Amino acid sequence: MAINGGHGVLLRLRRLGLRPGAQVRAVATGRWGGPVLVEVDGCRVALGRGLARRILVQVNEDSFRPDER
Amino acid sequence: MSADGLRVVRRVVLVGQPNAGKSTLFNAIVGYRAVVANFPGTTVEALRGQASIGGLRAEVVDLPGTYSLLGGDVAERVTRDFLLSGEADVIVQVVDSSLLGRSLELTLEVAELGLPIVLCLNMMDEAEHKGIRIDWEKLAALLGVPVVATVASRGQGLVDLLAAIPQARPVRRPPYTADVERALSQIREAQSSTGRFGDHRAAQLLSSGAPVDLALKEPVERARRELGEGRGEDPGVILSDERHAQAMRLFEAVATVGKARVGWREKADDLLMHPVIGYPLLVLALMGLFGAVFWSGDVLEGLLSPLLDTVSGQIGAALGAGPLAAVLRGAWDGLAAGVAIVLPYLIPFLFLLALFEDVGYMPRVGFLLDGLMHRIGLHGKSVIPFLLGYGCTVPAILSTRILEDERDRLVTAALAVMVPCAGRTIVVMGLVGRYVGPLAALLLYLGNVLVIALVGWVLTRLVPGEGPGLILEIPPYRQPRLQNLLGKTWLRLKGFVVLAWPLLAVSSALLALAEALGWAGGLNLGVRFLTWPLGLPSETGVPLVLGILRKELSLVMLDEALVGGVAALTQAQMIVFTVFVLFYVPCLATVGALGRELGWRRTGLVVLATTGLGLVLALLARVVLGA
Repeated sequence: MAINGGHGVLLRLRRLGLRPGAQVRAVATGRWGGPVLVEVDGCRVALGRGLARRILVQVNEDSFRPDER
Repeated sequence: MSADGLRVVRRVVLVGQPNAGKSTLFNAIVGYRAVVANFPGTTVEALRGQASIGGLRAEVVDLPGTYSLLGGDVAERVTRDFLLSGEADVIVQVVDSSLLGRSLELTLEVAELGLPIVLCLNMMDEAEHKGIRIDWEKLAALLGVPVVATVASRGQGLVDLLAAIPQARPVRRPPYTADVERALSQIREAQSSTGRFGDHRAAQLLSSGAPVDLALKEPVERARRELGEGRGEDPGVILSDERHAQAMRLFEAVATVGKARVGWREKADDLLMHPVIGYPLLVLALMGLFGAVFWSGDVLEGLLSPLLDTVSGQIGAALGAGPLAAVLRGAWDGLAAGVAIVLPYLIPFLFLLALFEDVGYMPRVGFLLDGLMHRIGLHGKSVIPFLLGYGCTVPAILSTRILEDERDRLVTAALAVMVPCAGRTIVVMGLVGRYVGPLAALLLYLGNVLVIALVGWVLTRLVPGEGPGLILEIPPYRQPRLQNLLGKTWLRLKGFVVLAWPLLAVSSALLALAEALGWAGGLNLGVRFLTWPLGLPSETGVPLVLGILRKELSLVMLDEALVGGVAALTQAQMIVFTVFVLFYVPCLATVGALGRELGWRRTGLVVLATTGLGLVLALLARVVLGA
C-alpha cells in the first residue's frame, strides 16, 4: 500500500463503511472495465475497478467475505 | 450564555455527510437559495442565509457535505476551514437517519471541536422505509445534546429544530481506549498554547502527522510511533476504527433494525445500472431529454414569435424614425428576442435537468460511464461536472471540487468548458435544430462529445499522474418534488433574467446605434480575420464577439444584425457558425470561475486553446460542408 495516497483512500473507504470485517454485497459491475457497485451497511458505493482490486488484496487478510467481487 | 441556559446564537452552520439533506433543510429555513439535488457533492461552497433563532436574527451557513474533517477534497476542505475559522456559534449536524451509524462517526469527530451541537435526524421517513427505528430521546441523553427528528423535504420538525438551536451543548464524548488517550494527551501537552479546538488539533495531528509547528514534530512523531507500534496499525486508521466502534455502540443502544420495505426505488437499479440494459437506457434518457427540449422549445417558440412580432411592429410604428427611435427599438428587439428565442428552450431544459438531478440519475451515469472515462484517463466522478455543464459551465467548474485528485480537477474543468451549456444549446437548437433539422443538431452534440473525449485523451497524457480511482456513493432514488424542481429551475433561470436580459437589451440597443451611425461595419471589419476564413458574412462579427459575454447573445444578436434575420444564412454557414460558438472563448462568467478555481495562467491557456480548437473545427466543418 502506498503511504501517501493509499492512507487517505483507506480512511475515505472506512468512512463509507468499507472496513475490515464489514459485510459487503456486490450489486453490479460496470462495462468496459467499469466500477463495482457494492452495498455496505445499507448504502451503495461505486468503486473504480483498480481501486476495488487493491482493496480486495488489503481486505482478504482481514476476514472480508470472498464473494464481494 | 444567558441566565436561562439558552445561548445567544449569531451564526449556525449546517454540517453533515454528503446527501444528508443539508441544503434542503437550509432552503426550508431561509427560503430557496441553494441548489438541491440527489447526488453527493451538490453544495461545494459555503452558502449563507438568515433566519430567526431564539427571537434574534441569525446567520445560517450551509456547508459542503463531508465524510470527515480530514479534508479529502476541496469541498471538504471548505467545510473544515470554515469550522476552524471560529465563526460558528452552533453546529447543526444534519444526519441521514437511514445511515445513522455512519453519521455518528462524524458526530464524534466534530464533537472534538468542542462547539455546541444540535443533532438533526433528517430523513426519518427514509429510516422508516429501511425498517430503522431510532430512540432519539435516548440518543440525546447519551450524547448530552438536543436531538431533533425532521423530514426537511416536507418541512416536518423545522420548528422544533429552530427551538432546539439555542439549547445546543458540546457533545459528551465517550473516551477512547487508554493507549489512544495517552497518545492524544502527549500531543496536547506538547502544544504550547492550547488555543481553541485543542482536542480536534491533537486528534488531527495524531491521525495524519505533519504539524505546521516544527516544535511539535518530535512529540507528534513519538506519539504516532508508540501508538502505531503498539497496535500494528496506522494511527489514522486506529482513530477511525475507534470512532467507528463508539458510533456502533451508540447506534446499537438507540436503534432497532427491522425489515426493510422493497419498492421501485430498490428495483430500478437492477435495470438502470445493469451492465447491458443500463447503457441503451442511458442513451434513451439523454435522447429523451434533448428531444423533449427541442420539441417543446419549437412549440413554445411557434406560439410566442408571432405574438412578439406583432408587438414589435406596433412599437416600431409608434416610435417612428430617427437614431433615438432606432436605439429604443433595438433595446426592445433584444428583450423580445430573449423571450422568443431563449426562454422556449431554456425553461424546458432547466426543468428536465433538475428532474434528472433530483431523481438521482447523475451518480448512476457516473457509474455507467466510469469504464469509458478511464479510456480518456479520468474516472466516473468527472461525469457529474460534465452533466452539470449542459446546464451552465460555472457550476460545472465549481463542482470539480468533489474530485479528490488535483490533476483530475484540472483536466475535468478544462473539458467541462467545452460541454455545450444552456446558452450554447439555445444556439444549437434555435439555429441548427430549427433551420437545418434535429438530426444535424444531434450530430453536433455527438461530435462535441467526441472532440471532448479526444482532447481529454491528449490532456491526461500531457498532465501526468493518475488519481486513486472512483469512490462514489450512489444514493437511493428519491421522489422528485415539484416545488424543488420549479424552485431550482427558477433559481437558474434568474441568472438569465437578471444578467442576460439587461445585456441583451443594452447590446441590442448599442448595435442599433452603431448601425444608425454607420459604425457597425467597422466593428465587423475588425473581426473579419475570423469571419472571413470561416466563410461567414461580415455581419456575424459583432454577434460572435458579444458571445463572449454570454453565449446566447450570439444568436440573438445574429438575428438582429442580419437583414432578414438568421434565416439569411445558408445551412452550411449556420453549422460553421454553431461549431465555432460551441468551442471558442468561454463566456466571461466561466472565465471568472476558471480563474478562481485553476489560477489565471491555466485559465489563459484554456481560453487560447478552446478558441484555437473552435477555429480549426469550424474551418473543418466549412471544408466538409463545402460552404
